[in-house]
Amino acid sequence: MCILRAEHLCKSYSSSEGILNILDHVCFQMKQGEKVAVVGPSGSGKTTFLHTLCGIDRPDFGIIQIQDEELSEMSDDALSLFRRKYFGMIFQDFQLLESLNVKENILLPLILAGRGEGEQKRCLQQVTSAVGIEKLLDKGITEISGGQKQRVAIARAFIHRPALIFADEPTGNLDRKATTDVIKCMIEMSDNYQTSELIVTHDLYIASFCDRVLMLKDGNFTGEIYKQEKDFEKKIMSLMFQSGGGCE
Amino acid sequence: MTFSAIAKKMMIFHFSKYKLIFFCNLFVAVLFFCYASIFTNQDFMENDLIVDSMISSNIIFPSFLSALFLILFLPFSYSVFLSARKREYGVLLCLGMRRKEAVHALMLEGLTVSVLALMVALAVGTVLSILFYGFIRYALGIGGVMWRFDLKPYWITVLLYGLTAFVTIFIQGSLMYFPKIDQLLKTPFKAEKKGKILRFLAHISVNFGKSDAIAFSFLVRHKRQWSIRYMIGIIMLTTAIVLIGLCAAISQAFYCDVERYSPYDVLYTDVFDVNHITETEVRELANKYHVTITEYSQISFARDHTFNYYPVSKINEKFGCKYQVNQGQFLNLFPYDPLDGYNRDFTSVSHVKLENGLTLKTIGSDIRILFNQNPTFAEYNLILNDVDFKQLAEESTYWSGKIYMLRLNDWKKSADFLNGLQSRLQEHNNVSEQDQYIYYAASSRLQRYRQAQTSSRFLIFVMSYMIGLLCFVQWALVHFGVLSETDEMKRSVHSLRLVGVTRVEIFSYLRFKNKMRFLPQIVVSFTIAMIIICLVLHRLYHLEVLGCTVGGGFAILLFSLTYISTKRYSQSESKRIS
Repeated sequence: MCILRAEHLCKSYSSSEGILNILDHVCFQMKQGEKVAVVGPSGSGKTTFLHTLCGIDRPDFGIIQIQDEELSEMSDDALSLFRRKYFGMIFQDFQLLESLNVKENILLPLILAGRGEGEQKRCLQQVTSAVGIEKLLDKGITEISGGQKQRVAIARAFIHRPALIFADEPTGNLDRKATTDVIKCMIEMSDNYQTSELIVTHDLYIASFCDRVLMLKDGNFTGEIYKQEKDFEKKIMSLMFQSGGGCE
Repeated sequence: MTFSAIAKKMMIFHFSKYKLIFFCNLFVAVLFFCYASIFTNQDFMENDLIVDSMISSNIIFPSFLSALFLILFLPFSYSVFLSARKREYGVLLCLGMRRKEAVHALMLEGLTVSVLALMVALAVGTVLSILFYGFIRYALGIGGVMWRFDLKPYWITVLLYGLTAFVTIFIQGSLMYFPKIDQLLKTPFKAEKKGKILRFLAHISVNFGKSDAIAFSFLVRHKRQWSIRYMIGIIMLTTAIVLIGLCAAISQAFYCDVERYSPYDVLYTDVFDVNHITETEVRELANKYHVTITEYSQISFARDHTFNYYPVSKINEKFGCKYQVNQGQFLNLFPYDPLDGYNRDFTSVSHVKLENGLTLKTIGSDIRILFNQNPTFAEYNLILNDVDFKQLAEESTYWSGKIYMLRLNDWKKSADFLNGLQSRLQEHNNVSEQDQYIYYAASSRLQRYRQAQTSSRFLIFVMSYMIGLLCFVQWALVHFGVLSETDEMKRSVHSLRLVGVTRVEIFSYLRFKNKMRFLPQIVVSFTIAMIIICLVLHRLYHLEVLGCTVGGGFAILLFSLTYISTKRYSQSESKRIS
């Protein structure tokens, strides 16, 4: 079942060098429960693609359908409510609120949705034990490590059981060990919650954990590899050379 | 857990982080309240018997400035508060918070902080205004003005502060509807391009100055915000320096006024059938109070509701003038000094129709101060031919009388004599003390000198408040700007340390940056202020040299202190970001 469909997405920015076409008629589909990685060199438009899909930014042209709802026609408020209900977000720089502790940060999506105390408690217990941060709940954000912060961000993204997770360079600020822990945690959570995941990254190691890898270059997809394909990891490596060495 | 609990926690967290902004708002509101408590005090502003209008009028300008500051500073501090919260609300919007909810939450926060600051300001303001009155009464010697509870200053402060805060919160809160979510998220990391001017300055600084590219890179950030800060800072410092220059010059001008407008040590008139006191009585009084009268002279005059009329021969004889006024003519005489700084009306009267039907025509005008100012004089002065004056003085519709002018051997020691003379005149006239003071009082150089002394002290006192505020706010503007860059600086310094830049080098970069944040504003303000002082004070007894010296001296002192303190300031910043 197709959960996300984007057709002919266009997005451009004006700069001193003229108009930059970041996304040029990009078409994309994603099935329920699928984990897709979008890779590409820096400046290839990965983040713009992700922001456009999740409604943080609007496309100049094109259609985005999520669960048969047309995103590009939604008002700002409707989009917010849609994001609140169906999306979870994970960022490279965590985007946790330092004014709140770990527990409050994780609970934010439920609080915004106005869920009751009982549900909050139950969901919190489930998600934190799944991510392995039960002991950190009362700590401040500045008191925990980078890997722990990203686990908190993952717990926050999954707590309301969204249909889709958008992750923007989720391991960009982490060392290799923490990267492995975090990506494994994300994939495991995704499998448990039957959530689709769209990860943009320049790290091919991360991409290798996904069901499908797409190469974004010069405003459009230039390659696509499925996990079930033979020599999946080798093909991912060859993508790196195609991209001109921009990926790790 | 509810959103209101979260919002409360976020607000408390940031309140402790931005308490300085709260205190700045508080300070501005308290200052305005103090002025409001004075300019709404009727005894102070309207009763000439208690406070001379020369003094009370000095409160208007600083009150206006304090109101202006309140109006300008509240939006600025709120925008600083708001920009610090942008990323947080960006995250909440990402998680599905609606714009409307975010804007409402921000407005509620702003409103809570504003109401809290206002309440504390009114309480602190009440205490300070009591001290303010105490200072005026006991230190400046302006008696008769008492602090009393009056709702007016509270209402005015609440109205001005409330209206400004409401409009600010509404407008700036509404602006949160516009930025894209990713822009809000990137607020603390937003990269900026250098403009042509900055590139040029960087080139000059790096190639011809002592700074290097790294030091300059610390400086060229957030150029739009810093441009605004520099501009506001320059306006504030320029105003402060100009005020200091003006304050010094105006204080001196009060004493110049004494010289110009009190040519005689004592002057009184016996017009309106009052102040009938003989020369013998006056001399006896002088003897009683050990004062020597070195000159006692008199001159006839007449007046109606508009004009004082003087005979030309007596004026020429007494003051050594050479006026030629024929029958049917008059000369307009303006008793002012054009350099006293006031806007005077020097429009001549072209003709005057007397009660006996005779019409007199003007032969021109002259500017000359003959007498001290006195309440028994009409507004305009005309010098007539002796024949016309005699006819006019005999008319029952004109009040005619004499002006008595005294010179003393030591006017500064004539206080007791003057009090005695005023009492004697009042006894003769059989009027109340207030009526005597308002309508018939004798004018004296000593009284005017004392008014000048009090006015001068009061002016310095009220202006010190304002100048202190201006300098503080300018410092706070820069300081908040520096503080808001702490996270960026931490990242930059961390990167520099990784590539081998030493702590000492980083400290020197920080010091360069902080010097450039604080000092150019003083230099530019000094230059502009000197021009303004010269232009403004040129018309005030040519006191521009004094104004420039004092204003310039203050600027140099401020520059030196700031230059020295940048070392300590940079040390504390270095500790903060290391």
